[in-house]
Amino acid sequence: MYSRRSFLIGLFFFTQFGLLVSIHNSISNSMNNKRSGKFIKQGWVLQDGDI
Amino acid sequence: MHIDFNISVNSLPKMADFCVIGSGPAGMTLALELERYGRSVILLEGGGLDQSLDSQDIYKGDVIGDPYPELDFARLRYLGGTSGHWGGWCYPLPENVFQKKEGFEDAHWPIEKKDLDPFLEKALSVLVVPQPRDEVVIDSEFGIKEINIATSRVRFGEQYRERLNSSDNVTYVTNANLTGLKTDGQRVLGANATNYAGRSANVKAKHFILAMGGIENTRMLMWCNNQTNGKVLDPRAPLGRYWMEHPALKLGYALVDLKIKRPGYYIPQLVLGLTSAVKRKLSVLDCSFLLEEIPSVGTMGLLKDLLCVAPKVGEWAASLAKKNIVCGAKLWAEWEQEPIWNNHVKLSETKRDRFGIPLTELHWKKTDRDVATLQKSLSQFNDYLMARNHGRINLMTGNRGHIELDDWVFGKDGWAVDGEDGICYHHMGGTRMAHTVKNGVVDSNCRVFGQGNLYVAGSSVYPSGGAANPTLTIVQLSLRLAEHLRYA
Repeated sequence: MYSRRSFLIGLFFFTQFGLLVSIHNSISNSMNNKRSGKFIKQGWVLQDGDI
Repeated sequence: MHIDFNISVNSLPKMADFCVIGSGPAGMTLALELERYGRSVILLEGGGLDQSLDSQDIYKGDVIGDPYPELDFARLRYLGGTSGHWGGWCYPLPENVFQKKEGFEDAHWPIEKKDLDPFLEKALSVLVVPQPRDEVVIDSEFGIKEINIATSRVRFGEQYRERLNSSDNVTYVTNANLTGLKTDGQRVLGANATNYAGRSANVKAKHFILAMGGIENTRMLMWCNNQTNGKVLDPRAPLGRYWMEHPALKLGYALVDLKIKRPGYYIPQLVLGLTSAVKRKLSVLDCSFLLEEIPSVGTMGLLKDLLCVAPKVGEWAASLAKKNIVCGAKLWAEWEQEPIWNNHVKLSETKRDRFGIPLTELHWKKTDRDVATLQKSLSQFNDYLMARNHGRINLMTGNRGHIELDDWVFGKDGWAVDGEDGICYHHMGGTRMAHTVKNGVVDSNCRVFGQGNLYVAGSSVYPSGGAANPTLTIVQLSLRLAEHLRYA
């Protein structure tokens, strides 16, 4: 049987993993956007050189 | 000949070749085409010659899932059906909609576009529209095509009432509500019709065709099947499943140098879509973008805004404005929803209509894959505008402040479920067409699997919907069904 302590430790690692994935996705998307040169400013979809 | 069932339930013809139930574009086209072939038809319409609350209330129902307008608002229940308030846009379903698509295993038809093509010219004459010009690919690298749309002003009840009145072969019966089908398990023997005073009569015909609409066909098949202890339908048939809409959304505005036609009532202006090759590459279904010109004061407002936010591209737009070749436009998207099992029509367990028949309960949601079709298609369209220097898009911000704007263009998770997402009132699926009963309710000739003389007409037979407005295809399918039944 799992103890309450090991359950909480497992939960901690599980949630931290989710957070890491989320951060990774966020950075990845941001990098992709930068690579494509597209960005949003006040609703306008723009690209490098527009400003 | 016309019979008002509220006045007389005893004057129906004793027998007819066909009983068509529903007088919207599907049923009316079918009845009149069968008449042209010299066959006798009883055309039952649940509503009257004009709209009434008594009839309209039967279209009430609940929608569970994404925001959706009231079901009795989306449909009309009187002679001519929902064509009484339709927008009239007509263009044929493109070829790839019928074909198998990798990654979308249920989004294809058991027939091909060439099976409907022979009925296009006649369908256009029924709708009194010229043939829309063929799609024009305006940029093959980005896969951008212009979709040409014809606009019909035909309200079927008004347009064809005189012809029905003078017909010897069609008896059209208003205020005659289908309340049951009698079957021996292999053939339908009769249809029970009931008026608003609760008086009924049995309608006899050699063949029966349900043409009641993209939700009602399912509801009444379910009800009739329940009433006959499952004798109407093979239990394997996915009745009610794979129901679809055309999701639509006002995305924002665009400042473009594309040629946009003058605005007009119900006249589409510039409609752009993606070619089949690009849809395959992006792994998306059909999506079209509508650019609707705004008044010049609105264009000037967009121009000023762009000059402030992005001076370089703003100057470019301003230089075009001086030559009167830049245009401000509202930007809308309408796209294809993937047919999935979970989107379905069922009978309400708590609410019934005045005849004791359960009302509709519609379960409908857009999926992540539906969202992806819009996001990827919009991103492609935006890339085209930027790369070819045709303009810039301004996405809606005001009422979507909690949504990351990147979501729309760059494909992160997120969906604006805030009650403002639109739909097109295009009801499709539920009695889908397929080669086998496991995959559909009707066969490729629209005959209900397991019944020798029961057919379904209308958009409920669509296995997939493309992004084209459905009425032209509905009329083509009815003409094809009439041809099939011509000698039956």
